[in-house]
Amino acid sequence: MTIGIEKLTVYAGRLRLDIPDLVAARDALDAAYVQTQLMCEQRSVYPPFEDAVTLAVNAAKAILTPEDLESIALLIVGTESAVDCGKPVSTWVHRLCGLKANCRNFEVKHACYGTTGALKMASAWLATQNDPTKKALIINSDLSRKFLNTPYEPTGGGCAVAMLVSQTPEILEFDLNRVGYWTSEISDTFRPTSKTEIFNGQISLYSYLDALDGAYQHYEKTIGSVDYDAAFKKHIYHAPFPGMPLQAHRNQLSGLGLSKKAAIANFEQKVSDSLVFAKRIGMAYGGSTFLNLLSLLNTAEDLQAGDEISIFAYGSGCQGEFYSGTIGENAIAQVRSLNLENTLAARHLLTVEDYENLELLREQSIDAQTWQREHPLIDKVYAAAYDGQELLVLESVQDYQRSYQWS
Amino acid sequence: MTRDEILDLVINNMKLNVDDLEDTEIDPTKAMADYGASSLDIVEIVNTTLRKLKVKLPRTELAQLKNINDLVDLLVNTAS
Repeated sequence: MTIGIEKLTVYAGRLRLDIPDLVAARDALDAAYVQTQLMCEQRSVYPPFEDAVTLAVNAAKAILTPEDLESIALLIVGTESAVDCGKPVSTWVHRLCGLKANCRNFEVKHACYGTTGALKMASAWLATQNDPTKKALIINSDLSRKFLNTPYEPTGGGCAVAMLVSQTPEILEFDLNRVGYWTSEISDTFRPTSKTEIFNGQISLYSYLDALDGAYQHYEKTIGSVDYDAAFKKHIYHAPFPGMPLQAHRNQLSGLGLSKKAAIANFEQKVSDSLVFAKRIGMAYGGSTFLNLLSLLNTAEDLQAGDEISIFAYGSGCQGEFYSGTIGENAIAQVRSLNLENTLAARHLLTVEDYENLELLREQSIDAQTWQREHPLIDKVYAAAYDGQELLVLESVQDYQRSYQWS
Repeated sequence: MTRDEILDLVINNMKLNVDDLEDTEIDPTKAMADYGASSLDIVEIVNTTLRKLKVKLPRTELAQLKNINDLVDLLVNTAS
């Protein structure tokens, strides 16, 4: 039995900010640091009428066929941006995507790791099914909170990745036994309230690398010694910002005795193609490794079906997981047919002032008992980027009950 | 490797990774951040030093260190 990802896509909204514009507006941000170390170029921006529900639905709708809707018997949404502490985002996604009633659905949380855990649990569930047509829909949906005037402001963003998991892994096939995982309780990055996002940056960088060491050692303990450079055609690393995979890759290459120059050349050859979308969307949270897989399949010219790649997922708190997979038969053609580059380029460019005001308005809408889509700036971006696009948007909140409609 | 050699190694790695430090006298009672090292610079300096010393340690312990001397002391204890 083969199991893995059959379809995969991303929804990154309809608005963007160019990071050089942001850097020019902030005296405290160093342009060279943002460009060469963080490696941020653009970010997606979300108006108050987008949330974890709209992102998830707008991603999933793009890949689901009527046949898929009949086959999906499990829906899991991973998010740290939930709109409710009790009612899961998956319930809205289930209804608004038109899934059948005989379907389990729930939401999971483990910072940027949760959706990788969900993927593996869903795959284990698939492996127990007698009916080979059953499928699982797994989504990660997250967006940054208000980062205005913080040192980490250039890293903000968000998106939803949606994937169909089945016994027809046309994108990525993986062996559930070829995996290593590692955990250690730490408060490196967390969201203690529905409006707050805390970054203990230095601790989080160290914790990420400890988790990479621990998960990779467990991987080798499980499957035997691995020649890291020879075993994998490409490497995907979780990217809290696009510059972090360079550190992660150099860490992995440390036993090979490469010079700094050789290690960076190896990174350019084996990792950088996976970061094209991350540089343009910003932080993808638990969707990061899947966004990076999309970027790799869309960009790499020396990748083909059957190639083995490695993937490292990391979630603050913390959990690391290192696993490997095989590029599927239809992966490259399927992803390139999505025209994701054009979709990203078509996002409406915001001024820094409009971005700042949208962030303030979005924060005000969080936890609101009553909210209406009425504001000159919100109307302006709706007309410029959403009207007629048939995307799900939040229409209103009345007594905390959320109403959605199609744009 | 002696403590002084490990200190020299850390300072050398600082000068390789942080701009405009070539001719600066480094005071080990100060933090790397005092010399303009970013969080990523510090990770790279520490990783390079660990690779050279061929030692591994939980990096999260490093977040508690106050200055360069604290780092060197930890490395001396770990490497010995």
